[in-house]
Amino acid sequence: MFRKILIANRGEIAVRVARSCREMGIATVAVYSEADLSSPHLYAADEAVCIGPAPATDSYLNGGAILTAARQTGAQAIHPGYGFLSENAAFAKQVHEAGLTFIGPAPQSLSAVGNKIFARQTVAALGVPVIPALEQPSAEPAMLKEQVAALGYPLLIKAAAGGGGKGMRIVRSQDDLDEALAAAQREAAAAFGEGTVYIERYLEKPHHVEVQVLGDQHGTLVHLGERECSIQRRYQKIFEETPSPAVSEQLRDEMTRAALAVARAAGYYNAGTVEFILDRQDRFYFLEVNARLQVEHPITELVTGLDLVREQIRIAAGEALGFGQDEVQPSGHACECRLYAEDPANGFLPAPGPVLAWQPPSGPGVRVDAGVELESQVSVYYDPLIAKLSTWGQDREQARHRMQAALRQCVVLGPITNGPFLLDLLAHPAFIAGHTHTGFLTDYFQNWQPDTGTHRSVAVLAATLGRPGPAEATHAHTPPPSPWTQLGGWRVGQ
Amino acid sequence: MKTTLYAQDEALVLDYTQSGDLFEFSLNGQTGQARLISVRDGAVTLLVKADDADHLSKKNSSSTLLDGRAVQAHVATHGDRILVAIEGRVYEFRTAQDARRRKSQAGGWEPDIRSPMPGKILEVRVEAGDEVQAGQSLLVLEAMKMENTLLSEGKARVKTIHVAPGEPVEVGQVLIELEPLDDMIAS
Repeated sequence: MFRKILIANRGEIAVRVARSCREMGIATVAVYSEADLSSPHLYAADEAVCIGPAPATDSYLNGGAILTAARQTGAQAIHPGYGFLSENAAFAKQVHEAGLTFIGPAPQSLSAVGNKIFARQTVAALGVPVIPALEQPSAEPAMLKEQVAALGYPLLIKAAAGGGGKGMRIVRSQDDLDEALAAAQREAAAAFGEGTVYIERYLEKPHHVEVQVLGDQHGTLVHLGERECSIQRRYQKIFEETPSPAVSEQLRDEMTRAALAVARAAGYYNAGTVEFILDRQDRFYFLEVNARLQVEHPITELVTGLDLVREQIRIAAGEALGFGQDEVQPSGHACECRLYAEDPANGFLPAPGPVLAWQPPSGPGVRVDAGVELESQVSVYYDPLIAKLSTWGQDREQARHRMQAALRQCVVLGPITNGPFLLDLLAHPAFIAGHTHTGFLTDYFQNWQPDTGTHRSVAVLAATLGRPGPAEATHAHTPPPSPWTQLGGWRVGQ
Repeated sequence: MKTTLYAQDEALVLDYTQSGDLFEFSLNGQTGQARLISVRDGAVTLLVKADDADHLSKKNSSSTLLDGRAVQAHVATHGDRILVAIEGRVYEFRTAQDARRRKSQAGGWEPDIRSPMPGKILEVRVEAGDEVQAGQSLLVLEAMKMENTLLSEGKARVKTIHVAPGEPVEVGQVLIELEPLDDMIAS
């Protein structure tokens, strides 16, 4: 087993990985950019190394600086988390060549599944359905336009390298193709360094369902059930649950079998996710493989009882999985809300800024994976994820009710967050009925505005009483009464 | 005592009297009573009996004891913003009317296009003097690796453009000034 692991990531996932390492008695090294001095992932680890300036290309995407940090600190393995370098086959190869272990699949599996065209052809050859799409990705608009004529509209444009919704555009008619192509290519170039895009037929209102797989280096490969990830904005998930309300026992059997076939064909080991689109007629199509730990992995952990990061580390160290498919017995229902610093009333625009108040929820069946602390900054440079709230229940309704309680208890002040939006989502009749699809938020929450009426008079009173005292310049002439001086015996704070 | 806070452009006048830890208050006609339990670390704990909680017990309304709904409000200030969180909802107030939010006389919308976040200008789609329609895209801002298109809220003429493609911008910075044009249909 490794003695020391470098965590090549930031925020909540770096904190979460460090947690499992500590449990396993493995020392950890955090890396950070100059913008992240206040990030809690620094002190979740045993050592911290600055790897460069704020822009990700100069720090968290700087493989050379990360390898140097690993050598300096004597780390034996690198956990890439998700995003950044996690699916970069060239980086994984450099890690191996430096004599270290990359905690993830083999570089050749990463290249195989990371190339969307290769993945698609391999998968189609296995008899797993794929969505009608271009045969060749390209950065050349003329060539792309010629090829799409045969596909029919609507179309979806995606960046050939990478995911996370960056560089994605839906095109409903030929008139919009030029502008959408140009924008998608610019976003792809900004996010991944290359403007090559891929175009496929866009399916209306499907479910997004993915299957978690886990395999060791000795040929054991299991699935850990599916996750329903249909609630998305800007093509990024904000709510996930397992099991999926849209998947029957028979469908689960077919989808998990397809997922295992895909993973096996890629020679895949470690943790990975096979993503599918499920249409209104229960037909599923292979989407892509995410060759890393997923953001939403906690819900799988809640129903299976496994620690996926621990399994990743054990597998990377060459240990046998030690259990088979029959021993994976998911129990109950789990869901996750991604709490983002963003404004749902204003196109979900990111809302960076300092965190002025932070109180995470707790209680039965509640798990919090947070990447912020009081006074930390939600930076403009990175994903504005504040925390992931996950709840477990014996059934979907209990998990949902627990999530509502968790969201009501959770306090984040400073940046605008999607917390109030998530509360309204969880109370929506179509959501309660499980009728989720990837266009759900567009259909039901297009012109959403926050409820500012319910406790408003109390909020104004609290604002008056709780705001810092008479020093407040604007009201110096009529200082608000200070409870400290007027309340005598009712002072509770000690 | 009176305090005025602003939510968007609405003035919220809180009128209250205090007797020990008991508050009688009214806000724009909505009345209530509260007993302050504690104020510490930005958390205000109150027992509240208000119009918006009138399903609660009516007894003891004049005694020093107050039955009601226990509410914990978290309060934070940031510049002239006061933020209050109650049961997962967030209320944002300002201590003074926000000059930036003064609406145009013509159509009741904001004619200064400001950057909603720090980022970089990718593209400016209009020129000074252009006439633009409601919903027309004015410029594209890249922030947090995403492209965000800023739109005109109403029919207007482009008065001044303050930025060029490639330029980094700060949150709140005026990017484009519009001059609202009267809309026949709206009147």
